[in-house]
Amino acid sequence: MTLAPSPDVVERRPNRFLGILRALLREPIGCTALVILTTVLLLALLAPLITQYDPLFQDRRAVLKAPSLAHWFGTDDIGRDVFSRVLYGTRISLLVGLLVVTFTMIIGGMIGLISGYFGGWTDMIIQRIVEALDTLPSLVLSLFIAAMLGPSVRNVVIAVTLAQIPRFVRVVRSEMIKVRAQDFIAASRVIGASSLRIMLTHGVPNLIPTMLVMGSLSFGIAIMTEAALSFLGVGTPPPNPSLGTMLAQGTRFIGIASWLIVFPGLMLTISVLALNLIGDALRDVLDPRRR
Amino acid sequence: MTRHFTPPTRAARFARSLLAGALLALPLAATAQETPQYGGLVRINVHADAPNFDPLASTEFAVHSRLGLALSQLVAWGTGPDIAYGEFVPTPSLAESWEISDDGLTYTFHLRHDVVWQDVAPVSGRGFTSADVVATYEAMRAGGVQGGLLSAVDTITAPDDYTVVLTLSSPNVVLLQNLAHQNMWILPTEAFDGGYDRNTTVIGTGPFILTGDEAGVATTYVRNPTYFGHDAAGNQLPYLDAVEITPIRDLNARIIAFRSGQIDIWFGPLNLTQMAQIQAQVPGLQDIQTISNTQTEMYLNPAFEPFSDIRVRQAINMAIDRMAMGEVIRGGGAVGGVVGPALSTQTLPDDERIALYGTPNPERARELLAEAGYPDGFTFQFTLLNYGEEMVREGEWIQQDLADIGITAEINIVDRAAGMALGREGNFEALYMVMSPFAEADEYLSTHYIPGAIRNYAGVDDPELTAMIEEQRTIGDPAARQAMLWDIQRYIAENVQTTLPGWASLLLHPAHARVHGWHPMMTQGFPSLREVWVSE
Amino acid sequence: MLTFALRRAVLGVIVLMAVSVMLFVAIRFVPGDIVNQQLSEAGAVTPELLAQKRAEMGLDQPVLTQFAHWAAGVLHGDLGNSLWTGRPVSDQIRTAIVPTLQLSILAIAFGSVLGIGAGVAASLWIGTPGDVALRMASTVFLAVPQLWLGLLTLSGLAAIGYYIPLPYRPFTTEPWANVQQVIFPALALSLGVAAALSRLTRSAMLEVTGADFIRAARARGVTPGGIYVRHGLKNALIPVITLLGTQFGNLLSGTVIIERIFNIPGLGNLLFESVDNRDYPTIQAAVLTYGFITIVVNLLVDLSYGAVDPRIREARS
Repeated sequence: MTLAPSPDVVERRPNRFLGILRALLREPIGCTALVILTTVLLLALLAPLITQYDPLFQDRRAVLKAPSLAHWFGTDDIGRDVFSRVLYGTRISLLVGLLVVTFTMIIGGMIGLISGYFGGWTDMIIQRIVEALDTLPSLVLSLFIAAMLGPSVRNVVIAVTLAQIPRFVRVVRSEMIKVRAQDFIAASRVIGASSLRIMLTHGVPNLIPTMLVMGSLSFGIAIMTEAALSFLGVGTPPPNPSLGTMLAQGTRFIGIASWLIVFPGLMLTISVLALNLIGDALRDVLDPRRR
Repeated sequence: MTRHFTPPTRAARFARSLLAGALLALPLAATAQETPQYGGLVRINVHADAPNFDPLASTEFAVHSRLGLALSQLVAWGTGPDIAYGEFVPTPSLAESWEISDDGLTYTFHLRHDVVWQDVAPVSGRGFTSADVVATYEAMRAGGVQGGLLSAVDTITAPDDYTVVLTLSSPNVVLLQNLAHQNMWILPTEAFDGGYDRNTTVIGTGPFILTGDEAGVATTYVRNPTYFGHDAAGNQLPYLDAVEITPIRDLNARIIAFRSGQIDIWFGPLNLTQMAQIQAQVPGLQDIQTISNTQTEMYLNPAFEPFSDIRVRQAINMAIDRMAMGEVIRGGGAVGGVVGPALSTQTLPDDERIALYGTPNPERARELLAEAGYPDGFTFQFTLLNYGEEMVREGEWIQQDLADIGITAEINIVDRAAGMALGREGNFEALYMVMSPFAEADEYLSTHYIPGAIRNYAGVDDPELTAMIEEQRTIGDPAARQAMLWDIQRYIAENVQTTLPGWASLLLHPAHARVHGWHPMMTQGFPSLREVWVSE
Repeated sequence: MLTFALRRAVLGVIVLMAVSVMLFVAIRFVPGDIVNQQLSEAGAVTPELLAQKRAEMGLDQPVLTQFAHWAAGVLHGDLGNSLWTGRPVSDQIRTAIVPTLQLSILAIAFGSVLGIGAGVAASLWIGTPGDVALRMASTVFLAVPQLWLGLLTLSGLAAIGYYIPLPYRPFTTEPWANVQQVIFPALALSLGVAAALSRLTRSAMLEVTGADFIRAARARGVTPGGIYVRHGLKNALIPVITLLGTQFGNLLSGTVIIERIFNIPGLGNLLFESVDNRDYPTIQAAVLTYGFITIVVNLLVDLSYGAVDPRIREARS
């Protein structure tokens, strides 16, 4: 991952976020992505207003019904409304994604900052730990942690966060090393600024563009990993409607009830797509060289 | 007068099966008398690889179902068109006859003289003798997983090469069935004196010789030309040239393999919707249906305050709509019982089981809860062992049923190993799992209701019940024993009501039209395979 | 260069050893053990028998003693015997790694051909509808979870009445069956790789083709096709190879899911089953194997930089 924002980004301080948003809206990709993401978000957040079905309620007289006006996405094998489950499942996906990204940014960002700023032994030790986490394929690592902790949303967040941290640490660290090498940091040191102050005033603002891009990509990966873990039975536990759990349920009815596989998968793909597009657009906006 | 065993006549078997048939549909295999043909290959799927082939090391289905083709017991489960899936008809195997002394304490087995071991080194086709039986049983008692099946046995002796005598310290009418248990394969003495490695080598006296085993691919067998078995007309068995057992873990992959004819005989869960799909695509499919020998069950831990009150346990029992659950989720089957419904002659009669466990009454359940001091219900941790999707669905179903009477069940899903550990430690509030595939009422009762027993997770300690369970083991008369077993089950429903039975699912055993003479049996090891033949 | 790559590999092995210690302790905290599993279908089991079985497997000893025993074995090249099968773990790993590697290598191959091809094509057609279509396709495929793609492939094949032969057969014994078994899962895995590669190839190509030496080559009268292959692609390959390395990790993750969906007895399924059974030696070996594969792939990626661009070889040594 090479996401070096140009140093001139740093100078555009005032109203940075609004500026980014405005720039995003000017780009066709960014605009599309924002529209899709907003739609997904609204569908998930307003689920109780959009559908009157309880995602957990079993209508035992309407089992495995194909999509119809009453049940837009059909019903599952114990009569639960698939449309409602997809909406509420998206909520869980987004929740897991949001938590994972937040924790990864905070923990990964902090470790990366420390590692990059101090260098030396601190850096050496942190890098070895990060490498240890990174020797395993991320899903294998998450799977292992989740299997050990047992299925629950909290444990999924822990498992996915741990697997994502190494990437953040690495990127933030290399950014920090670059920042540290710049003249104004040396200047701050000369005038007696503390390490913490330097990191906060110069390190963090410089990292924001990179973090935004990585965060949106990470969000997508987190959603996919949650689905994979749930599919494998170590993720979000039943009866919660997770998109991955729904796909696992659907495998028993391949060739019989295709709606059980099509709709949850579609929603999953659309959510990840929107996040990836946001990431792409952000990268274009924040890093002029990549246009 | 000692009771002598002679193989039952066809009429006697038929009479017995009428009783069973009233409770349970008999396998609907084609019974048309066609002349069996020799040759051909049959492929069966199972759900997993055999971890190894040592019958003393584990009780795994994957091991013993595979061993059954190559090994034999002293006494076997009879099979045939008029024997029900869960019905034990003691049938001569390595022992051609036996006598039981009047006091029920001495069993004398007369072994066949014409049995030779399969021609695999180092045993290499030597004759089978009583020394093999003694060595096997002694090794099982010393450290085999199946040692408990011989716990009633005091001494094992061999007066001559073809006689084995077992003496018991107290009468146990279940012994004969224990000897026919799927874990009781007889091995040659070489298996125990370091002659070969039981983990990897299989040498038996069964109808097929195991020739290869590749993990994830197949276990392969060829006909054993020196097998001792013959059909009714005196023809050498088995008919088949070869058998393959294929491990397919994923249900969908299994369906695809069966549909496309890569599997001849289906084994494992399958629901009616899936079956209908297969039938639409495979002409002439044999549709054999039975009731599963396992059932789901719910342990209520009395250490959790509300569950210590029998009224709460009764209320939970009354809240669950098992009949609808079984129909919707499992596509049929039978409501569970203290003794599983597959044991058609030992479980309570169908209508009585339905009255006890299959007739939900939410109003009465709410009243009982109020009487017990929980008018507003309560919340508990519902630990669910993950045996697969259907199991999870049942848990979700029960959750909604309990919500109807004001009880909140918080599902906590765990894998099987973790769940068993939690059960054994008593570290749960309610535990939902699948019962082991027991083949005798005594197994159900002695594992669940005797203090300290391995499956007594609910801590049942009722001296009266213990006495009754011990007594039924000594009743030689089948009718009297059945009455006693039924009394015990009624007693448990009224006074104990923990380990609530769930559902025993419908088992579908589709087989392709080319397969003849196939009778699925509850016991593991595919005992009817020796008489299976294929057309075309 | 060689020393750099080797140093990284050696460090990797040390890291892997640390991982194995953590793993060893961690899995023993998961409730349940193999004895429960082995005797799960038995009725007549006594607590004494359970204790006896645990003692036979050494599970009653302190974790540190168990680790010392295991580590000593590993240092002598002995991964121990599976508690579940009683057979050497190394045999099981050797059997299971074949389909996993076969899947990942095939997927990388498909992905590279599709991805680099599409990337080069898009860079040639820049600004045309073809470029837009390819970019859109790559964006979409990057977002489709392998899990869903696998399930859709299976549904699609079922719908047209094609059945993948089962069970899995090794290529060496039944090549034709094996090809049918791995080709669809490999394709399902490869599309994500292809999407990532095509995006990177396209931008790398555009960067390189704008470079001076390409213009110089053009001035010398080299044909456009020749320029792309000889100069453009060769230089664009460096970032592509880096990406291939990271993609391999993703692919290994993907195989865990795909093996499950397509019933392929690979490393992922082995790991899954051994976790289910609490077969500690096999879990340890399977996880270490994943780590080992990652280290080897990183080593290969490092070495291939040098092969593609001699300047890196010099710069790093």
